[in-house]
Amino acid sequence: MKRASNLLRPPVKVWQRRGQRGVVSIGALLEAAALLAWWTWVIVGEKHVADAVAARRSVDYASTDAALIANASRCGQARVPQPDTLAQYRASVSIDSLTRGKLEIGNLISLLAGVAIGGERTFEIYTRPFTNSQISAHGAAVVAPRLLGGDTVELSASRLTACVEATRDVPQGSMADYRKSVFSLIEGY
Amino acid sequence: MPCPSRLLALAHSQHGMLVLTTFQAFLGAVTIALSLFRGGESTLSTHHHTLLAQANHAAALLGQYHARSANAITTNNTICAGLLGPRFSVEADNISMDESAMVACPRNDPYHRKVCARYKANKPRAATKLAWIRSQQTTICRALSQLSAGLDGVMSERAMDLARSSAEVAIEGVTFELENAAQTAAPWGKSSFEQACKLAAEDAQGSNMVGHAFPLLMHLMVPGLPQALVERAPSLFCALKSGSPIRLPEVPSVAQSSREQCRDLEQRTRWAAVPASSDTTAISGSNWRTMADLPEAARPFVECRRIAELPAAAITVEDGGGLSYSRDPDPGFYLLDDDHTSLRCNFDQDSCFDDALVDHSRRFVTSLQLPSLTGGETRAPSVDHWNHADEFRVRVSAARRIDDFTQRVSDAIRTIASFGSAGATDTLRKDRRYTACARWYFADGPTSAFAGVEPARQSFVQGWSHALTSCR
Repeated sequence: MKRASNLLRPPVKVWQRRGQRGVVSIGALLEAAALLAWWTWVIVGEKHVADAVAARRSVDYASTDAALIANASRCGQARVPQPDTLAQYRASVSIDSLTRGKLEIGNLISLLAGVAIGGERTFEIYTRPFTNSQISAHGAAVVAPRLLGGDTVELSASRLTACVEATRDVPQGSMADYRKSVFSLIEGY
Repeated sequence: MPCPSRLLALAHSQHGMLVLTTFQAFLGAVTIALSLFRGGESTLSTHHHTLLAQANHAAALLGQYHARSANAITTNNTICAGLLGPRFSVEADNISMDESAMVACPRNDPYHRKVCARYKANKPRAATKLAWIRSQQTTICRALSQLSAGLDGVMSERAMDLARSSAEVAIEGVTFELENAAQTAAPWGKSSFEQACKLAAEDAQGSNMVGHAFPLLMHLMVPGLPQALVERAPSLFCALKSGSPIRLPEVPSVAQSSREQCRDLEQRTRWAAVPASSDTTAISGSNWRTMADLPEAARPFVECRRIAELPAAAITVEDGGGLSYSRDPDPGFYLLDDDHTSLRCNFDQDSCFDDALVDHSRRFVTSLQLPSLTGGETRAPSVDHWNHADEFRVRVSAARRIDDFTQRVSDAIRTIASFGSAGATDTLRKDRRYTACARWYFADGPTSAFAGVEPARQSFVQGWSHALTSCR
């Protein structure tokens, strides 16, 4: 009797089995999958943002530090301190020398040439171009995960600085050099 | 901590599923907001680095151009001082030649005739040299002085233009603000001409120039006169007020006229007073004279002593009250002072000569009609302690707004984090300003090659440098 009554019961629908172990609805499955995908995308994206931020900072710090060091060291050398936390994004720094502009003192050069002045060691202050440096820092490529498209971003930063000039003068000055040049024109008979 | 079975029960309930989904969505939103925040922060960091780099670059450029300007001004000064030395020498040689001719030409012995003949043969060339060096020194020093006066300001503007154009290429919309005393004041506005004259005189004295402009002639001239004139060059040629009057005893005409003036004055003094012979002097009451009877110009040089204070052995009282003083080869003359005390006096030739020398030297210098050196001054920093002065510093601020996309992201984060209650803010919409400072200075630090260069010479040495520095 009991068995017969079981047979007579209509088949149980899926939606009617909610709350029972091992059986979920299609909607719940899709929702779970969407959430999992969502979370995966968020976590992967977060990792990518973190990588990009670290790489960006790496090139910014490297270029700024290199520019300051280059400025203070006559642009002859620039060793870039690398922050430990950004070591995986070590930037490579290159320094290019730029020479541009000078005093442009016009007719003064020819005026001074008239008294034999022009070959003294400190005279080049009038003719020497300004030396500046362009510091370029290139970071390692930041590769986006395949989930985010897999693009590669090459980060770089550029800085300019003005080099400290080396002087060719001596502590006692160069007056004797100029005096000799002038006097050479009127010496003796 | 909630019991796992209760969580499971919550998950199995319809209400629980809704809560869980909402919670997960919230976590997702928070995570996205965090990512956006980190991205925004990275953008702000880049903005900061880029703008600060532009400010640093502008400050470094200004420091470099100002340091170059300072080194150019010191070179202008050095060249001008370098021209002064030869001018001093040729001026001194010409004066020496003229003086020698004044002594030699009136005489008729063979040596002086030779000197006079050589003078006449060489004077035109000497005068030409003098005219040339005067003209060159004046023209060039004036040009250099004018260049020095405006150089700092011009270099400042040029550096700023260069910094602006570089910044425009790197990032659009950067604006600069500049605090630079060189644009409003004149950091190199003080004259260092006195120092230039001293340095030129010292340099000329140690050189082969003095007395050697005309080697075949100069050894025949008054020995030591060119050197003496160059030694006094700062007060003689530069007309500097050294505090002490000029004395030129080496110049024969000056010494001779001074000596003659004093001899004449002494003679007039002796005539006016009662002379004391070397043997016996008898003074009667009517012969006595007082200081008022002497020429006024002579009074400062008359030295008297009371006769009573003279050594007793040196004085003999003659019959009738006369005094005899026979031990002194120059017995001088007698006077009475206001108390009717007898005085024995002397005329101090040395003091008179020294005094007359000043007057005759001044007349001599005036007679030379030396052309003025004004207008060709060398320059020095306007302020003392220039290595620490604000006039030798520059402050540059670079400003730019955050881009619009980052601002919108920031607004979105605020909205999410506040569950929609917070709106847009103006914080990021304001200009972000970053400041950098530079200074230019004479590099006389302890490790520098220019350590120990005294301040007065620092405007004649190309030892100026620049550095980025902290902003005070």
